Amino acid sequence: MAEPAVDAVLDLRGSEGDCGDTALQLVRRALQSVAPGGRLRVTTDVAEHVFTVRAWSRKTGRRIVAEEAVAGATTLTVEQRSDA
Amino acid sequence: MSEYAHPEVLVSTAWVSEHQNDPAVRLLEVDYDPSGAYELGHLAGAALVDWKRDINDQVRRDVLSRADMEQLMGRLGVSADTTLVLYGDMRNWFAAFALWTFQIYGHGDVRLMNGGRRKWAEEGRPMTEDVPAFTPTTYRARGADLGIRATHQMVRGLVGSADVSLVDVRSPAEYRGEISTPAEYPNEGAQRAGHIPGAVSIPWAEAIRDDDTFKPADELRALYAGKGVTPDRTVVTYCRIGERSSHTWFVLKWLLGYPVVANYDGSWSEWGNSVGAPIEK
Repeated sequence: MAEPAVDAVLDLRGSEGDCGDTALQLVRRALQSVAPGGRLRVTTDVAEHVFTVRAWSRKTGRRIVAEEAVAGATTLTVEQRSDA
Repeated sequence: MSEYAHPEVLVSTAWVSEHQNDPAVRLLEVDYDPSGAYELGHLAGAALVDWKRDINDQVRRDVLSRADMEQLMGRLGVSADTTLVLYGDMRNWFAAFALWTFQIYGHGDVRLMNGGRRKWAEEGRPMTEDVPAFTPTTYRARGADLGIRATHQMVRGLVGSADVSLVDVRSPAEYRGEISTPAEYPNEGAQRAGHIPGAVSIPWAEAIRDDDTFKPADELRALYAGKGVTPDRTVVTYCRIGERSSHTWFVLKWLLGYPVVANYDGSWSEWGNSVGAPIEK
């Protein structure tokens, strides 16, 4: 299946090991460079991150337009709000 | 395989699931960033403890005062005999810090949920956005037990002592002085990088498995003893602000039962800014 076109990518695998940004802080920062209606592809191997990205996107008016789990990693495509 | 020295301080996600409606148990989610954790969903019945707001003094750099501890526990409907079960974001670091803090003020039964929020989510267990309400209590904290807390002055006095182990739980790059503070945490910055002289490097994550639960007692004992950190020594743990080190403090104090273990919460953000403090690289 072809992956949807995206404007930015973020790989969370290996993050949160050394007291740096949280996963959501990294997502928020990555989305700052995504124009309204644009898309960010987030990959993680942590179920908690999947929950966080889904819940935060829903609460802040962003859409998950694609989600795929392959070989232990989940990729979510987040669509930026049109008024962002 | 040997048991932990104090297995009662650690509960599994399954145990928590069975006690979510137990009135003798208070579930507390301790978050560094509630907007990215508790507010998006948490265990049913769990109250939020905001690390920055609830566990820290709001004026000076310090843990909460005894009066603030009493107010916090009262607001959460906690009595002296309540079983507190802590878990949280950021790999359970801040939950461990809260456990350490609550023990400073003498709460008798406080436990950590093994694996934290990450393990709970990994198992697909339910979360809710419902915020529980509790009938406030009048809580009386004990005087602070400073035996589990190390200060800068105490650590200065311990440097070079033959029967002391200083455990640096930061990343190897932080230990070696290659990096000091991530740019995203300017308020945790230090003027100098490196480590406290004589400290051994045992990154906090060496104590956990892939699912964030603690390694078995035998493996933990071998890990620390292999670096010379043995129960006959005075042990001090530190990191950058004292939260990752409280995770390791928990391992040494409660899972392995070392008799004298203190967490230096001033950690590198204090040591690396102190004029004249000795530093090794």
